[in-house]
Amino acid sequence: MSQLSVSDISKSFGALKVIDKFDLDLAVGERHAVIGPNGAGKTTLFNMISGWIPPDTGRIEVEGLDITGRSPQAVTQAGLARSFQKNTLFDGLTVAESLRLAVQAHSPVRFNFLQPARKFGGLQQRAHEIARQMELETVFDRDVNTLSYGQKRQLEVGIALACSPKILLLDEPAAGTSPAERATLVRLLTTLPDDVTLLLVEHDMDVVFGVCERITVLNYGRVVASGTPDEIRRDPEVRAAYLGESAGHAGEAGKA
Amino acid sequence: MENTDDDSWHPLVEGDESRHDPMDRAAARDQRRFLTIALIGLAVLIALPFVVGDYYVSLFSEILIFGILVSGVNLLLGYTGLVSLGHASFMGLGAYVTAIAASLLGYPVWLSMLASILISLLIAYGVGLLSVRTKGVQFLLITLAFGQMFHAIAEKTRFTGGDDGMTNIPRIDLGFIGLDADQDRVFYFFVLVCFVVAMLILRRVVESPFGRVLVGIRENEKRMLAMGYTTFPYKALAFGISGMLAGLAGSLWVQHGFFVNPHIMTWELSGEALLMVIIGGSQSFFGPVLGAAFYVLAKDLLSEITEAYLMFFGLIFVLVVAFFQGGLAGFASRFAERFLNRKSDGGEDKP
Repeated sequence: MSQLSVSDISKSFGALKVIDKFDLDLAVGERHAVIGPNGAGKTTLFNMISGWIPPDTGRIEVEGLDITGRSPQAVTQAGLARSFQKNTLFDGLTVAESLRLAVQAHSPVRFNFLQPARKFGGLQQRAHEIARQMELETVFDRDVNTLSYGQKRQLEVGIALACSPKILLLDEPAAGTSPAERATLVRLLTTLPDDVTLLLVEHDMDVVFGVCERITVLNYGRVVASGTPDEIRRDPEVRAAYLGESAGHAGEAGKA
Repeated sequence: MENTDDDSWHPLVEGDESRHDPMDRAAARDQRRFLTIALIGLAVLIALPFVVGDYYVSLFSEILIFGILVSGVNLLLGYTGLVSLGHASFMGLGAYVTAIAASLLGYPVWLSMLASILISLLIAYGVGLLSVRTKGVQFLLITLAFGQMFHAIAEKTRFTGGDDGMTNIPRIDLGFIGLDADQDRVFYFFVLVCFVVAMLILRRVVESPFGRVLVGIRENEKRMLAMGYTTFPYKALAFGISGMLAGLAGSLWVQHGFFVNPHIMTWELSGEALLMVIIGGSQSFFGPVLGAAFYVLAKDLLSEITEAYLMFFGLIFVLVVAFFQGGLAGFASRFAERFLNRKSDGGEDKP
């Protein structure tokens, strides 16, 4: 049984067909990227899988459990956590508190309203573990609004990871980062736990080829190609539709 | 003390690593700060009736009663980020329940108070369930509409005296410890006990995992949903608890003045409660109480000098908002930090 199974989903906004009969099956631990030019429907696809927009047709399953049309919080509780393309963080809280909130969301103590939160050391411990994984240990007690942009992107992923998901959906984790920050992100994403299934939307080819073992190419809401990075790089239709002149650059990154 | 608790109720992992984590020190420092302020404040409040005259004892009872109300309002405003304009109606509800139960039905006052607390909790929770699905201006208008509705009911109800209200409402009977609450000094201490209990409960709530969720909702509700929190029951319960504290304040208010009328339910009082919170500092646990004290004392002082005291009060409000970031509590906290020459690390104790 696949970890995430998306079958035949479509979405139209008015006359515009944004996603047309999209299929995707992810095995446990798979690293998968969805790429495509602007307006290809990647974000809509993500919003449908994570429960923010209901699909018009089709079915989405997490480990056989139907989550089609369920609320974002229900989808996350089913084991699918997402990050956002635009930082969606807790500016007034510390990194520690942000991560603890994410851990707490998946623990029964979240309903406790009469015991001090600090008594639940397990939350703190797990939050610290995530901070270490995301290389945010040194800023653990800092307010989120004092972090650098790259650190905020790391926290964006960290919060999703702190939900202990089976499937992690990352919406352009490297959006707006500098080359150095991007390198850090790629390193962090390649060291994610093996049992976490990763679905990534990304524009940056260094990140895609550096992290993922399978790639689906989307254009005008339809799958143009799907396969390993090598197959995608060679696919003439993909070159035409998307990679264009950046194909040479992507090839170099693939070798590295 | 908290840190030595065993970790047997760990939700996820067994172990005691957390004791060595830096955040634990921050939490401990926050706790120390809370205890320091609480103990100094309590000492002052206990000593007060032995120092000041009758008039001020009564005024301070009023401050403590408003302190309970505005601390509840701040659970919504400061912690959850919701602006309610309907809290006077819960205060009025608590007041009327006590008045009806004690004066009309002849139940003992302590039982009437419990009824006030319980009924205002339930009704506020119900109103919360209906209103917290909206936010911003819509939420404000819904709570205002509920408030006006309760106000209208109070005005039209014959057996509670309609617009005239009810008089001769008894205070709590403290005969079992040989005290007479009809004396203002005794009643002050009774209010103080209620105030301390209310603040301890509220502190527990904001420190709990539930309280942290409220802060998360204030900071970014969208992310809370994405993390897997169904946020509306949290907000509804926060509304309920906040209404419960307003109900307790109302129950004490009606004993304090021996009477109640629908005026206590007007939205102006809800607005005043918000002013007290903002003047005192919504980002601090005790800030709103400070705001209530400032409001009651300034109003008392100004109304002696001029009838247009509200005009001056408005001016003060504008100055505080413009120049005292974090209200009086923020100002006091910055001042104390400079005074104690401590390492400044961000200031106010954030909720």
